[in-house]
Amino acid sequence: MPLIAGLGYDEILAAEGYPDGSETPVYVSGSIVTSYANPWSDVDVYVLSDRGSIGTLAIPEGPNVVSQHFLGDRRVDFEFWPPATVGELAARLDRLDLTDADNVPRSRFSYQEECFIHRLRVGKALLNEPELAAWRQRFDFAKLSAYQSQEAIRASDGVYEDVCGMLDGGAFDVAMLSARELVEHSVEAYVHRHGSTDPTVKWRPRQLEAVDDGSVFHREVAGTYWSLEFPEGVGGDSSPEHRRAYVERCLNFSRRLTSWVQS
Amino acid sequence: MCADYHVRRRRSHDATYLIRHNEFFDVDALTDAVWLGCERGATVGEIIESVARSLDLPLDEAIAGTALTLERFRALGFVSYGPEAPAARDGGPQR
Repeated sequence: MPLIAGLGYDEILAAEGYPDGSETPVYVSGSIVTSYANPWSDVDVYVLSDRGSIGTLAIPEGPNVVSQHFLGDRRVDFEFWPPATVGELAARLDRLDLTDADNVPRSRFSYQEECFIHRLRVGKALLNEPELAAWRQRFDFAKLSAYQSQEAIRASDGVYEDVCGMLDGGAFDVAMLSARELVEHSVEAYVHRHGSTDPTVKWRPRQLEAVDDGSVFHREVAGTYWSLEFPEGVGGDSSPEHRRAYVERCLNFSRRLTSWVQS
Repeated sequence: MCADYHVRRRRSHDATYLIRHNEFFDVDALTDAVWLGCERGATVGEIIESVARSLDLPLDEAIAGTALTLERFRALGFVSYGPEAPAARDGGPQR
């Protein structure tokens, strides 16, 4: 019997009464289907159905319903997404005009929706694999990653302005922290430019590893990213010269990486 | 060549802009190629080489175009000549 995180597929499915004779796609996704998982990771199961949960710990969470179960020492979360909602998401992505920036950055899709689309992409079917594949076909994942890259750059614009102003005003403490945020935005744009659709910030170093194409360029991006996230000898009590130099390094890294992303 | 940190490059649709706070400069392919060289802290010679290669220009045209553009950049305060600041050298990947 196939297992995931030590749990049998049948055991997971039974928690919500599947199989139930329907063609409902049920799939497991999130960190548990990647190398990112750890012993505390929960198991996220997605169900594309109007049927709803039969669990006792179910709560509505925006467009979907989440139902929690505890199997062995794992928490198993079932997310029920109505097919109409999923279809609307696919259609919204299709309609998205990447040349139109008349919106607040990152407002075309919620974080929850981006997670859903990404998890549909990487999910592993527990039930009705062909139906799951058909849903996947409806999503243009390359377009989502292009949107995510573009939005990360748009989000970085305001931060870039802030950092320049802070630096010119001698506010090195806040400039340093904002400069670090700028580095994050730039690396986010970079991983999405490489096709990643994972919006989860906590996995950024892993996402960076995942897009390693073996190039010298990538090695330098990754190396500089770490050195700017954890700069040696730079902190709140270091000299103004050191703090300024750190912020300038972040600005240079950000604009050069962004230029590459937009090339 | 040291590019001023206040200036950043952005592309939108098919246009390329250099932005310094509230100033926007719509730039052509040659200006863009020179700026990209400045961003990565390249020498004048390296920028000329890169301009000639990326725009498929004869060397004499690349030299003239680069020199003119760098002078404009200098006049605008976008770049400064002389030894590059360590922050510019170490601030990012080269490509």
